[in-house]
Amino acid sequence: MATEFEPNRAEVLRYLGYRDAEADEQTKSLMEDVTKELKAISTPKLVSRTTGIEHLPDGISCRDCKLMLPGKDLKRHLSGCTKAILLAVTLGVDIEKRLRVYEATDLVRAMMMDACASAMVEAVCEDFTKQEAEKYKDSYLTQRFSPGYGDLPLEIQPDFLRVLDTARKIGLTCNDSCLMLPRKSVSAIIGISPAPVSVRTRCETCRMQKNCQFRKRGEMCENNG
Amino acid sequence: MKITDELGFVLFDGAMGTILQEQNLLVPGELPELLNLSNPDEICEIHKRYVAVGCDVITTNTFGANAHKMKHCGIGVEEVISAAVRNAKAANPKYVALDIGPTGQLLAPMGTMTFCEAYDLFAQQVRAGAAAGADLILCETFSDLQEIRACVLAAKENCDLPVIATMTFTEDGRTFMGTDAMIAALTLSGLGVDALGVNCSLGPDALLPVVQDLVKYSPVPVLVQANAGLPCEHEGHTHYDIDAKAYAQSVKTLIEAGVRMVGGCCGTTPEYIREVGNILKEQKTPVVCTPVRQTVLCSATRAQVLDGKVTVIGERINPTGKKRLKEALRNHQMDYLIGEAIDQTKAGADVLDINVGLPELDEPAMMQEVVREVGAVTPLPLQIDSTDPIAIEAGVREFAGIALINSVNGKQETLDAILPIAKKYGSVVLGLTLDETGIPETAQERLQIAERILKAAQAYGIPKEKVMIDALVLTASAQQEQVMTTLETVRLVKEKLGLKTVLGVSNVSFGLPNRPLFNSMFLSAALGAGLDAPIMNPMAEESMKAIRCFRVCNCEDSAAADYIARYAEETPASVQNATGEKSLRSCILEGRAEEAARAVRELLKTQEPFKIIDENFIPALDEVGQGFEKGTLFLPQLMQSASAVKAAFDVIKESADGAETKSRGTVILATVKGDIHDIGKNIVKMMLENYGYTVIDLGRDVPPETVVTATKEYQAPLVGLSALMTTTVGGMKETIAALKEAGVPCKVMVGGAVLTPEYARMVGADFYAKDAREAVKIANELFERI
Repeated sequence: MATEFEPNRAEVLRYLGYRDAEADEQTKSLMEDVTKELKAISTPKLVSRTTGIEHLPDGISCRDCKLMLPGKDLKRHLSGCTKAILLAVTLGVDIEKRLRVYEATDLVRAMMMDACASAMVEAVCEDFTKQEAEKYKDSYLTQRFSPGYGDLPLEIQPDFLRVLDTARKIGLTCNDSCLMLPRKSVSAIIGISPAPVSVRTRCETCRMQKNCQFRKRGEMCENNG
Repeated sequence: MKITDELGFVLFDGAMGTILQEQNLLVPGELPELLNLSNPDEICEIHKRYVAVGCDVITTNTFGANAHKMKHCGIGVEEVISAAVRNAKAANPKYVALDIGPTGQLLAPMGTMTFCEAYDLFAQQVRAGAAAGADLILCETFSDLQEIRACVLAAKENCDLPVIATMTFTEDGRTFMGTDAMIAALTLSGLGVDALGVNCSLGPDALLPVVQDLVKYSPVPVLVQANAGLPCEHEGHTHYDIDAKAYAQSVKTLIEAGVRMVGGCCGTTPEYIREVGNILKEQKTPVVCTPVRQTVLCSATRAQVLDGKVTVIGERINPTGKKRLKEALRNHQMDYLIGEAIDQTKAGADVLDINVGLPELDEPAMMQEVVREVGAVTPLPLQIDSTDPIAIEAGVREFAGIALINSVNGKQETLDAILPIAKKYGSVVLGLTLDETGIPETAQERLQIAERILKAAQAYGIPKEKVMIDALVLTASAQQEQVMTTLETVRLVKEKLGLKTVLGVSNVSFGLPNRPLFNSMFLSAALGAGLDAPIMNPMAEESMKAIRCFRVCNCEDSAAADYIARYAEETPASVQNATGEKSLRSCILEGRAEEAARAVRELLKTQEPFKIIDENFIPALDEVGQGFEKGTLFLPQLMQSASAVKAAFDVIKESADGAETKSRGTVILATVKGDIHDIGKNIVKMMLENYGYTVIDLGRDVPPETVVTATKEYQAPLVGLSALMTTTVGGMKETIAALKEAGVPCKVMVGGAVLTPEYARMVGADFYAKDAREAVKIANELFERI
């Protein structure tokens, strides 16, 4: 089953280390070609659940399911929120297999596919967030915040996925190292607040934090505020 | 009475979790299995409600009761399972089914849990269930064919109870992992389950196409436990969109399609099951079904039906007479084998032969590994080729699907050793027409051996469609008069026994000039005689042309579409060199792999290989590398250039043939345990190889001991470790500690997305490589000092 989700091209190039410099034609045409292939083999699947949340001294506790999200960064991120949406997305296992083939035969293509797929998962999340924003017209939604951002430990990933029953519902699992499998997947929490929230991201709580080309160069991106 | 003695309908129960959540006994994220101990009365009460509406089979509340999911709860698997069986029995049903769901982990090679680890988890559950007195084992809601195989094998090898296995499918008729209903039905029935089917997934109406296929191909009864439609979330509660009456009406359609066992999954309640029971009473007796019988080989995601078409079995992964492959097997260069598998798949093979028999190798272990790794890069079914029954069993056990076993022959000893394996795993078996007295000279005598093989297989319970015959090709140069005997045998085996035939085609031309020509002509004649599956080299264009022509002739290539697409615009090979020659340096700088290879081929006529490397590769790579460092060139360009050098290097390696180019030193690379993100490591590998290093690539998810052993064995002065996640950096630290503990005199460089110089120091690494370019510099500096 194919998908119509489009990876954000600028983001793909950022993953590959480009900044302001214009990518060469060869790279751009490879990106288009890989995107086409990727759209044909992706099977994006998403599961979500809305829950009431409680702000505890040491983190956020979910009211409607058994999940405790420790740390001060998520607490700050969700300040003012009374509810939250837990979501998990995966592009499916076929990409995983295709990547394996390209890693053995065409590393350039593998690298491009890896970057495009990362951007495509984000596109799926982005689309979902827009739909939710429609649904909660009278409220305000925060940016997505994932296990591993800031001081929210990656170790909560198994619990997070269990609450959403992802293995059964979308075929998304997580191994003992808290690695999501299939790899091209995202889990995140979005806060729902009755009052306006900041849509800007701080570096500490940004999903790119660990891999940010701007930070590596001591710069900041346009989202930072 | 056993459930396998039931001839009529069998009614299973509906959901447990749905009711537990309704009653607020269970919150999402909690382990429902623990309620067997904390709330036995409530659990038993739910079972009783299902018995009261007429259920024959009650499933225990043990879906996730495996040691992996329960490791943090402090309660043992046996304790939970015996309580669960007790609760089910207390409801006094006709049968208690021990419910086993998936491990919740993705199995290797796509994930990190091994087949054996999954098997052990399931075996523990099975033993506990059998000891507690369950009447049957129900493996349910699986989406990975390999994982459900582990579960079924664990059930069959650890108890004597009947086994039922069901998988879950999505709207496109496949599981999340890509298995369709036909493959599920054939593979599971091949393993000897007593019933099979589908559960969870969708509502009963949406499952009709899946159910039709299950019934069409399954020789055992089909079970359906559908959801009450699709879930919709409202105010934190989940509802399903099909009510009890509508559910039962849809089930009626499924029963008319041939389903014999029904129940419910998510969203169904005793009310649903009561309605279904009423439908069963109305229908009275099940529809009699006759499954389709044909010869099918399959992987988890692709089925190759051999009836009415030609099947190409790729022969390249067989070390006989192949120096390069022997070397790869001895040196454990899995990427070479993987490359062979991918090339054959691209070239049009339908099945791949796997033979790893070398006297100095642990053949069963190697067979298992190759089957797993090849299975990760090709969807093709495999032919497990060995003379060692232990290696054969290792191969078919590891292979997720229906394999072809190559081979048995007329010798009683071989038949008794290998046919039980074929029976157990549901494999198709290939019989060679030879016996204790050798290869008969007449077609009649070969036919008699084929007949004997067929009878022996049937005596072991292997159906006729799972027996194929190799009529044996002899060389035309040595036994010219035997060539037509082979073709005659093919004709006779098909006509008299109705079995599919196989030939190792290229044997015929041994010792003759222009073998591709001879092979393709003989192949055409054999196809004419009725050959079903040639074992051949799919990269041999002449032979593939014969195959594609024949596919038009036998109406397999409908309207010659494939033939036309492939050959309509074929141009003569001689115009290829029309593009002007470019310098090797510019080919590398511009990342043009094919042109770089061509340029090297030209240069090799006048220059020594090492000179080409030193004067062309290295300066060009350095130039690109410096551009990358300065930020004028980017990773894709660096990689394009690296790929061009790799292509050029391959040309040099081929040409050198024995007079090998000197290695600059050996580097061990591995992605650490728990992590499978290895693109970065592979980039480093290519760059190091381009600079003339010998790289021993240990792959991904590599345990510390493997790194230690390899580093010692190859006496490598440098080890490179990669990890992508904060949670796997620990594996890095462990590996470095293990190297130090073992006193291995090597330096360690580390890299990966989350690593920083501080992290690198923290885990005890000697060097931090922020990218592949840096890794090369580290290696260069280190090896210059040695």
